Amino acid sequence: MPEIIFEPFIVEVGVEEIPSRYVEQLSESFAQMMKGALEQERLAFQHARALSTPRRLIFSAEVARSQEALVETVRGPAVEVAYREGKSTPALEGFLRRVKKTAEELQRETIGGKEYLLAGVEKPVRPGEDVLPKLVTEVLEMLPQPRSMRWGSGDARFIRPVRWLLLLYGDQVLKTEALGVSSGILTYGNRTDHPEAAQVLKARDYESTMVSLLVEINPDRRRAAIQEVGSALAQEAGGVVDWDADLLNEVTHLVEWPTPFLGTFEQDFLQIPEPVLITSMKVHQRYFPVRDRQGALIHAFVAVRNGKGEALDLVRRGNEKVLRARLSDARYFYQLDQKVPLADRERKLHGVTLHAKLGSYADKIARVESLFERTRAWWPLDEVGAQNLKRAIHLYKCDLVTQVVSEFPELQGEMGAIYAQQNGEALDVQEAIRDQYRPGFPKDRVPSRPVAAILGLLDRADTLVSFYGAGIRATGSEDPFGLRRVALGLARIAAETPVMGSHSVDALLEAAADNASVSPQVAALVGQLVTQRLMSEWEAEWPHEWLEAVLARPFPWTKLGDRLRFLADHHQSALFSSAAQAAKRLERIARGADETELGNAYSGIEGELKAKADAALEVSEDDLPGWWAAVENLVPVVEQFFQAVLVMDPNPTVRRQRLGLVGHAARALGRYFDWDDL
Amino acid sequence: MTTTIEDVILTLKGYWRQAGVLVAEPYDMELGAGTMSPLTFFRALGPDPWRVGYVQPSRRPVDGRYGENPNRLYQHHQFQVILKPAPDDVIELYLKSLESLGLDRKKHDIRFVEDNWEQPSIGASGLGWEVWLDGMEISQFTYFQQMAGQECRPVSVELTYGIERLTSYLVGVEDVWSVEWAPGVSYRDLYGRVEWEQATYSFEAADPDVLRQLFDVYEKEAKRLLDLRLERPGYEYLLKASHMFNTMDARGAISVVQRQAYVGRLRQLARRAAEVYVERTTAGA
Repeated sequence: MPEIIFEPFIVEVGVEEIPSRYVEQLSESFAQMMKGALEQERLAFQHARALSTPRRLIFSAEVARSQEALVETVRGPAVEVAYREGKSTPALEGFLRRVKKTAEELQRETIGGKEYLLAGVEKPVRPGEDVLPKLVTEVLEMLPQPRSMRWGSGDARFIRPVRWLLLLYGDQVLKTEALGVSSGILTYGNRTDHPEAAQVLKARDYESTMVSLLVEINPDRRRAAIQEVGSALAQEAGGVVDWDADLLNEVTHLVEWPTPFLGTFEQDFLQIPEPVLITSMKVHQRYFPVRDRQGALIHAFVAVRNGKGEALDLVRRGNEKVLRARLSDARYFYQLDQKVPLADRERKLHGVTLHAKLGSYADKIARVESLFERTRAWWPLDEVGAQNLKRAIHLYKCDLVTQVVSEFPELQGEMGAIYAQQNGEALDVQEAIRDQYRPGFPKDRVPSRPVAAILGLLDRADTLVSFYGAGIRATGSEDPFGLRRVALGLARIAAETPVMGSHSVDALLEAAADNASVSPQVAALVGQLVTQRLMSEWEAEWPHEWLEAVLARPFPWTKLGDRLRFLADHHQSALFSSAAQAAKRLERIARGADETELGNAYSGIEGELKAKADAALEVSEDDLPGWWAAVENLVPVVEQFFQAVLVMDPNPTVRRQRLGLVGHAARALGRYFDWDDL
Repeated sequence: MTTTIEDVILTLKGYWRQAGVLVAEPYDMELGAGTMSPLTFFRALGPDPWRVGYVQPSRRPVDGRYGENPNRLYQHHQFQVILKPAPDDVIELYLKSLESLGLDRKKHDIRFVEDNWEQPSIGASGLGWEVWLDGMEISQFTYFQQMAGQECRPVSVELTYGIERLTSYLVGVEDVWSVEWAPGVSYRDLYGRVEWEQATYSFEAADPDVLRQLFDVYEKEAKRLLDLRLERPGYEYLLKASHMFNTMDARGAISVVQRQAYVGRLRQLARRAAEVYVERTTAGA
């Protein structure tokens, strides 16, 4: 095996500022496609890296000087066609000309019962510089774009306009065209410090040149630099940075050369509720809040400027000014809100439309309240709890008409809880308002208090049946009202909190549908959606078939874990497989029956089957082991029944009653699972 | 150092004039944004090159705050530049325009933050950024992709400077009201009372029925004129209808569903106006 000689290879695509949320994904897929293309072109490579800044996608690797050798086997004519009476035919001669071989160089191989002539053809071995330009062009033109655009007069499409292409291979500059630009030796520094063009002639000089132009091409190093300097700055201010991972990622992809700095704001602003401060800093300004050792916010933040620049003071002052303006606004709105108690805002909800087809928020509150009245007996609430829940129903949407929420819509619920606390509402009420959107994202927690969990269920059940009832549904591609998330929230609260007790989600949805004057079919449709969301949530840990089998029966989902564990414990036992057989046989017959009747006087083996099935059905709902013991008695009787009795008796009465008995036994076996799914 | 709104406007006009841009005057009707000026709307269509810059007073009835909010206004001023086709070095051109205002890029942090722009009522959309100056949004930077539902070929770039924000930053004050338009004349002197009146009108005094009737009349007239291929008078009735719509919106006189329908009607008119313009300018070319 000859030793491969590698050359450093750099592709830098210069792009106008790529939206930060797409940089990583684009950079990864660019590197993946480059690697795939190199392999396909038989160019060995090592140390391949995906690098990026907001203005560049970079692929860096060491690539072999030339393609690997390859002998390709080409199939020629069948032997019987190639030779006639020991002489070569025109078919053979044509093949030899095409593959540039003599007859002696061919091999034979039998394929599909026929002997063929084969030629080993050496593919041309081309040097890297001949292969790479076209390869890069093809990869760039095919690189999938999350959202592409056109620019200038050209037809090229990319995430943002492409402005240069640096293409270096060892000491060579490779020439190609892609996305409206010609490759060359020019690159640019960061916009603050080195906006002018700079030359790079050799691939090995690339990284050091970029450092001299104050561009850190490695996002991991940018991230580390932000954290290191930011932490030190916060420490000087007597605090620690609240490093939100998503924000850190975003900021990493907003700058080419990070320069963190510390800003401060007036201590007075700390009177504003923390969620408002955090949202102003993180979401609106991309600043990192700073906390003291106890976790309380202090009047400082860490921000990051692009480039090294000069006079950090001006940048700091500017950023402080912007934050101050935002916080002054927020404080003004907050103080205004405090003048009116939350409860006094309820009547204004008549004027706030939930959806044109679903009326106002006042209508919604009335529906949720009457749904609670209907289901009052279900919930584990004492008189105080019930009063708190009713109070929460009247208050949980009131912050929609506060100033702070109209400025910071993402704080709905949070602000309501804060105002409720100030108005002296019970803790149950505050928490129910605060947790109304929980769980709202993967791994989010479910509401911790029963009152909050119940409100979460009632609100979601009403939302789902109302939207579905109005013909607004979550489809594969469209879900503008986030109904899937609502359904998942309902499923998780039902399965992860104890408040549903012995009641099923299906029953809750039926009550909600009736309450909202929506047909039961809609409730069933919503039930499917909620069940699907629950399955997708549990599928990471449990087999899909088990979930299908268990969820085919309505039951309180708090028991879902128990039922799945039961399957896990028993599915390999002998009884399990014989029970499965018996159940499937019974169900097949029961399904095909048109007229059935469960009689009240079976005798002999039929009587025994009835008795054993009754036993399995009478065991209390939560006693799975007790049911399983009854199944152990029932299964052999099913066997004996089928041996002794002809179900399809000519006498219609006998037949009807036997079919009824079969259905009865099927229900006993299928009490907890649909065996067909197992 | 620039210190008044006048200075900022004159500096930007001078800079862009040097860069080969035709310096035009504001359009003399109520517009929601500089994009609605015929100098942008029509000129972004079709193949002909075009470079223009102008100040456009822009009315946003929903943003009226009776002159009480530090930064929100019923009417603000945009300096709008259209470059068609968008030149390769447009970002540098833009950054140098900030430098002409005395903003040294080394002393400030200038950031391009993703912003996908859309104006459904004229069927326009584009991709680009908000430009942040030390954390404050001062400009919109957009590559037009569609105008009036037509693909933009070549692509124009639209640079929109928020003059009030930019000036208040340059002066170092926190609210627009203390900015001077010209030495000795404050923004409040010029617009304080006007903002109060306009907000009072938009939120309280406007008669929704009158607005609705006017919208219908203007729409009908726009259609009639566009059918006569009188593109400019027809388009001007669209602008009037659009302003009626914005006022109805602020007055709370339209529901979500009605809103969609009104936007659709405006978009139809814009589409028609664009067709008339393109047919005329490409016929016999």
